[in-house]
Amino acid sequence: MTYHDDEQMYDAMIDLAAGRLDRAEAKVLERRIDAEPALAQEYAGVAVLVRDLESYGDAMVASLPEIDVVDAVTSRVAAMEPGDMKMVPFATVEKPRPRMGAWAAAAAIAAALIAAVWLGMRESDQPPPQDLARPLTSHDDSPLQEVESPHIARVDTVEAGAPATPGGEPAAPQMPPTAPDADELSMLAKHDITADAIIEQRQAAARNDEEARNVLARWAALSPENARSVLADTDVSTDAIVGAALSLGGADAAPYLQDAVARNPEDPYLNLELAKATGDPTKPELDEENALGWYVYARQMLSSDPPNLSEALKALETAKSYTKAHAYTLEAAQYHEQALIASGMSEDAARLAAAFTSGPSEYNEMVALGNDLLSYAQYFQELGDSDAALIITESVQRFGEQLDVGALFSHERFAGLELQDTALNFLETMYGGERTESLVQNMEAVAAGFNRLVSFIGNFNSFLTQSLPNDLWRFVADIILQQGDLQIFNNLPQTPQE
Amino acid sequence: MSTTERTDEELMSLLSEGRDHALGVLVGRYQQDIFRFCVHYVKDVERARDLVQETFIRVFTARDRFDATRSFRPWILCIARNLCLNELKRKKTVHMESLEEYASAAREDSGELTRTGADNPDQQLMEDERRRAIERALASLSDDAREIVVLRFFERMAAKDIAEIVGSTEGAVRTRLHRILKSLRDKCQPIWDEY
Repeated sequence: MTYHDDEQMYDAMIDLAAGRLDRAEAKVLERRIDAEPALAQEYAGVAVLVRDLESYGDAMVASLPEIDVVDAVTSRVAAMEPGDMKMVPFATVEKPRPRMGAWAAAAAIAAALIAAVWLGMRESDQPPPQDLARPLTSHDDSPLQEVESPHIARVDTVEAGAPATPGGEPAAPQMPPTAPDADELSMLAKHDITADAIIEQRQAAARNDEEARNVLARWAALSPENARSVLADTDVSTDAIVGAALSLGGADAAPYLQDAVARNPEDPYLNLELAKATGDPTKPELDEENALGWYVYARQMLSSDPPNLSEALKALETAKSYTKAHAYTLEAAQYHEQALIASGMSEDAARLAAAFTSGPSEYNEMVALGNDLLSYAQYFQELGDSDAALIITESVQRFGEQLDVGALFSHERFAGLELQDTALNFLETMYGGERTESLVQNMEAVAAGFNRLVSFIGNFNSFLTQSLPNDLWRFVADIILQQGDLQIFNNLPQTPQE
Repeated sequence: MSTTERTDEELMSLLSEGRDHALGVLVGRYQQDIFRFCVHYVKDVERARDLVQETFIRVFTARDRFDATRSFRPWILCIARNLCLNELKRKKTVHMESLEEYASAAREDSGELTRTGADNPDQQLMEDERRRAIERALASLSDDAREIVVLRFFERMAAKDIAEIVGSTEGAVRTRLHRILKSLRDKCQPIWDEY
């Protein structure tokens, strides 16, 4: 028996110790162990571990009760309607196989819809929405396929220009209100931008008025001049300084972020932003509830010259153990609010502006991070290190799951779903186009996630297009700046849930 | 040949031909395995029991998608795993509590220690210490790492089958397993040296 690598032989030693190895192979391996002292020592350790683990497992299992669900299952099957009886298989096509099955088609529709309707809120940091919707893989030219199946997510599309009612039926198209000149509006000085004006623009944006979205984005943006003016002002809060520095970014932000970290050395967000500004390694251990720092660290290790693969893989292994991840959108929005106040906007207006433009740049960053890691996976695949490629790709999928779970903002959730979608595409390629059951089920879950997010966005926009008292607008902004937009409906009584 | 003598894959073929009684045989054959498997993830007996039912319902609805040239057991465990992970995600707590914690709680409730057949106190002490060392070492692993250990050593699965269940490759599973076991050995070695 020839072992291709140490891991394969190690695996055989496990089976040998457990008494599960084929007799012929066992004899060969035992002879080899007897002949090599180092191997004998290794095997001795393996044998002890196998014995302890298996006996431990047996003892645990013995404590479980016996169950009998035969009747329950067969009764349920007997009661099933004919329409429930079969999961219709994906439409299969003889070679060439379509690279996007129905699940991915649904995901792409939802992603494009989310991008078109939701993104572009802060003009200064957004590529065109259609670029964001495109997956990393280039084989996106297959025809979309309709497949009837109760198990494949259906996208309840929101008709362009028409907000969905909470019941999911598209409403009659609504004409946007007559708007003043958008260019004139967007040039208003910060102190001239009122809370009412922001509400008006946000409501128009909820009706898919793209000009209103652009105006809102410009109002909320801090130009470099605005930011430097805030930074030079000795009479502003430290949070405003941080907010202004973050809007500058890069080396310009570094000294201010260093001051902020000196005041708050354990703050994971500030440390992360400082690391991004200076290029120094991140300190991911600072945030025990957020895996993000480990993925950033892994990217740093991979992008070093030469790439430090083993450190990167260790970081990814650690990252995967976390329950969730998020992009610090909440923290960023809170600092942004303070910077807007310091730039001359009223507190009221700043709160609304920061709340209603939070998310897109963090979405960009998360997707870029995941795509960077996947590009390294591709790189190692081409070098022949398929194990490293696979570990990195699976890590990106896990990152997407963690973002989905840990998201406070819809943009974070969107990034999480996108990354899972892209990573699963990659995995399918790595498996030679084969769709394992696990892959299929993960794909279906992602498509369902997109569907739910589309539904939430539709409901939120529908809510905002109603005639709401000003106090309620402010309340909504408060919720967003304290808990994230995904919590809106949990805090508003008798409104549609996500 | 009676239905109960048929292989799992033959039973799935019967099921896809409309012979629904084959499902009952599969349920009887696998329900305890799937139950045990689900408890590893959700650490709740009642929820695990529900997930067992859901797993078989899904097996039934997906019966035409089963490739009879492949092994049934990894396929059904993959379905069960995804249902468990979805359940945990739904509850917004994506972590894999281990069976040993459940059993520890059960032991504490009953006031019993697991007896391993040792017939003298010193040996019992040694066994208890070794078990505690394993417990601590397992608790220190990530969820993904512990999952691999559970499947390899508690469920006695081969790397190839584990790969199919968790959606990885055999090589990657073996690599991970090697690293994980090295970590476990390092943690347990002091206890082994003492006892």
